[in-house]
Amino acid sequence: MDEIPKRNQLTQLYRRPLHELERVMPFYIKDPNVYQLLGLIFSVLFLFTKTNLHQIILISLILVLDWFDGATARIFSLTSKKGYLIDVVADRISEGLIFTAILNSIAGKIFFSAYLLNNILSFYSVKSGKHTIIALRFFYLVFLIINSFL
Amino acid sequence: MTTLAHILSASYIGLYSANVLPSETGFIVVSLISAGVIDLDHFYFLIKDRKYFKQNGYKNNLHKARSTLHELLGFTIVGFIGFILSFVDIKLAKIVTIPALIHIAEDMIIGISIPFNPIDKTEINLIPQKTIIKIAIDIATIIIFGLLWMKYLNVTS
Repeated sequence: MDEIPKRNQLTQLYRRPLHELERVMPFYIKDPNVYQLLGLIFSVLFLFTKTNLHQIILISLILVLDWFDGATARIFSLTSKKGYLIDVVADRISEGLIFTAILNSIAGKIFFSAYLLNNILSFYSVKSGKHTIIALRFFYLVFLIINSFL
Repeated sequence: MTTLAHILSASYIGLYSANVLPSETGFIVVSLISAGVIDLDHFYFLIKDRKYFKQNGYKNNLHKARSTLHELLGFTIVGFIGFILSFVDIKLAKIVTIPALIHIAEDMIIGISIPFNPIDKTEINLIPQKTIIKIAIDIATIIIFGLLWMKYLNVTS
């Protein structure tokens, strides 16, 4: 793989409005890796969460930071193959920590098995040049929000 | 990161997040082993490639003395073991998985890694690879988690 793997056209449905929004947003920290590191620190903190609310807050923060890291890379023309690899690896580490924390529930086991699949899909994405990875943390956030209303 | 820093930090995070009591010595031993065992692969490569390290030095080359277990593939294998164990004993699953995952994550964050080895040999690093920064992180980790370990073990006395 020499180029950044291409994303599925379907993802543009939610990515396009985000890209428009990030153009008018001020980014005081211009290094994407800072957002990655913060996201990873919050993912470690996730291991210690006890309530749904804490998990919703942390995952929301992690997802926002994940968006910020991509946004700063795009805005400041820092996109590269290395940046892509860092992003994918940081996301898998984050997912690994999050879904290990919830392994004790049935939903947790389902999400964890999907995370293992995501690891394999990451290798496939790098090999094939097609970004084919499931936005698992986002789906888990939706699951948590729905679950807290039930 | 030194093995001592890995063992202190990764095992503590594992024990704390899995709610292991200081009296559960079996789990503590497992977490210590899980946090440190991955570093055994360094010995193999340091011996096998000793000529290379003698010529090029160890500084900024130590990431070449590790197997794919230290990369994303290792992350997946550890995760798979944890997933299987979760059907037997959830506490054991967490104690085996979390310290190993934290260890690999620490190495990926602090050092140079080749995450998609063996299919892609691109080297990545998240933080600047300055010796002083690495030493500072190592010392800070040992002090902070050393104190947390002392606090944790004092609960029994």
